[in-house]
Amino acid sequence: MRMFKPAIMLLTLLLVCPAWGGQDGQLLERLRVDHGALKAAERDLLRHQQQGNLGVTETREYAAYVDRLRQRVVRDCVALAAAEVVVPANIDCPQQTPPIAGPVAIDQQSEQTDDERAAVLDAELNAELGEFDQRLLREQERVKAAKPPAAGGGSQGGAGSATEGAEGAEGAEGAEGAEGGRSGDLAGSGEPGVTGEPRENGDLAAPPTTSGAAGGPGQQTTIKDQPNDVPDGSDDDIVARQFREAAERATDPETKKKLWEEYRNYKQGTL
Amino acid sequence: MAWRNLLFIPLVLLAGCSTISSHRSIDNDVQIEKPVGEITENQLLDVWIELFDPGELQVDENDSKGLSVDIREAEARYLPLLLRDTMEKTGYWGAVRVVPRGTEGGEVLVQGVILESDGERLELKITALDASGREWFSSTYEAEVSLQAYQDAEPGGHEVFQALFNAIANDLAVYRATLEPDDILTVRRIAELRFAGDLAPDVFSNYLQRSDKGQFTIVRLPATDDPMVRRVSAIRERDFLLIDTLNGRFDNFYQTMQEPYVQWRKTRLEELESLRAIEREARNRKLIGAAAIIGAIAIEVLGGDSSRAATGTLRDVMVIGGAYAIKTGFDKDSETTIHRDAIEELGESFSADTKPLVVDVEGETHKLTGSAEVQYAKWRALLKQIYAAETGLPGTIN
Repeated sequence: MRMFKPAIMLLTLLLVCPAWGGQDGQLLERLRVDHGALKAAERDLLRHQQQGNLGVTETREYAAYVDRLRQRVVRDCVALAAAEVVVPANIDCPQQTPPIAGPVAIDQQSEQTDDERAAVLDAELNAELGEFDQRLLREQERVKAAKPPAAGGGSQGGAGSATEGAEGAEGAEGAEGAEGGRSGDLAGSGEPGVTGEPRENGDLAAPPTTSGAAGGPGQQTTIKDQPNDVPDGSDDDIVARQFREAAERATDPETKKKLWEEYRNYKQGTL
Repeated sequence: MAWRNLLFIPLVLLAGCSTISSHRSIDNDVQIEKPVGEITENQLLDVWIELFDPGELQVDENDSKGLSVDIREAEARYLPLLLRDTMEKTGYWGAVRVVPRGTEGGEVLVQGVILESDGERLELKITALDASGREWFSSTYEAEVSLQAYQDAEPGGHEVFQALFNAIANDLAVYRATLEPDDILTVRRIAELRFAGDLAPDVFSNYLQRSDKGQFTIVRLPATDDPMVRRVSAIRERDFLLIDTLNGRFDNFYQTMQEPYVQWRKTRLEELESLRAIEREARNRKLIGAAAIIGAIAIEVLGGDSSRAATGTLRDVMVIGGAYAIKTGFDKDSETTIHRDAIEELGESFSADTKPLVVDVEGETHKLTGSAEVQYAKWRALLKQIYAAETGLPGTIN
């Protein structure tokens, strides 16, 4: 709409200055201005039509504006001719007869048959489709222009160092793995004693808090009594659980006490 | 017509029946199934894959380390394109397009939700339905890849989770194989009538019936030479063109994102592997230490006086050694911070890279669909006026 602005302002100026007419000189000046505006608008419209960058509605509105300008020029020419003023040679007065009393409000739709109206609308639809195609075509060209260059190689970055780190860590883990097996033996070595003596130590000091069944025939009774000052173990990690379970399984009070002590130390991070 | 079914023999054998499991754990060697011959054009269904729902990140802070909503938003646009490309290669389908969520008019619609995606594991919930409103299936697909998979993949080449997308494409083809030619035709017609009904409800609303469950059935068909059908078809062609243009934008996004995305997933996984190795080592050291201390206590308590005296030094060594092992375990723990920070930084950096890309493609999508919406509104009004003129129904003249 930027291109319409000067012309619209000019037209508005002309419309709000009714006292302009009257004097021949003023009439001639108005013709010059109107004629100049008409020629500029005609050229502009033609250029936009050739470039195809105006929509159907915009083209129609612009053409109507040009038509109004032309009628105004014709009116000026008629007025000057009536006043017997010679129109300068560089102004070509159009041969169109101006309307006598402004535009007549004719309902063109009611003058058309249904078929004609449908045909007009159909044509409008086709024009809109064509315009949409143009827009999409332009968009596709923009998409093509924005296409990133084909992805190439060469994105090595600093991944190498991270890989090396991982490999190093795995190597260390392998070495510890062997010891892990041995630690299992160690852990297991304590168990026969723990599980093998429940009956001998049935007189444990603290009343046992039994979990599970109340000791069926041959069933191991798990005693989970724990000192009041140790936490419930809900946030134990795997190592703390080892201490806790060993302490819970222990039937000997002294062993139990020491294991709980280790558990506390571990939980407090003092080991 | 029986010969047509021969095209789907491998799939029917593969599936055994049309039931598709609601949860699929995908092996990395799932290959894509292809028809044995070419499917005729009138038996092809167009597929629209909606941009995925980015889902929600894991609540657990450790699990969601280095992941972000921005990355998920980018993946929600990236992953559907992988599925599209996979499906296009099968030859089972007509046009396969990625569309913004909530887009109407597809013959087969595939919707996806990202349940998990961290470079190592990918879990998607995929729902497929056709234009008649019939749900084909709704399944979750999960796959896990190792670091080796990234190391083996060529830059810009093979997608490490390709097997998962192959499995989805295969399941869609399996369901497609259960449809009779008439079913295909009906789906195509319903899709067209739904589009027409959206564009010109005055004209086309009575051609379809919608059940309470949202399923569409055809009540009647318009005449083949109906000029309104011709007009709507012309607009539908533009709709396809619009979506193709959008897919051009999505493709640009995909290509820009591909390399940094693959690199981010790979590097993240490398850091994660290092982190796990250190955590394992730290844990093992602590376990060994704990076992040594437990053993020392057992020897001390359970042994006799003589053995207690004989093993005094050993027990001391075990206790001291155990305590030391636990201490080194804790020391090792502190090394994990480096990798945790690295994972976090990688995520932040990749987030910062992808966010503008997402904003850009989202803006372009809105711009295009927004202007198209204005255009469609004009077309709707025009169609309404044309219909009024052709039928002489004054009430419909706008």
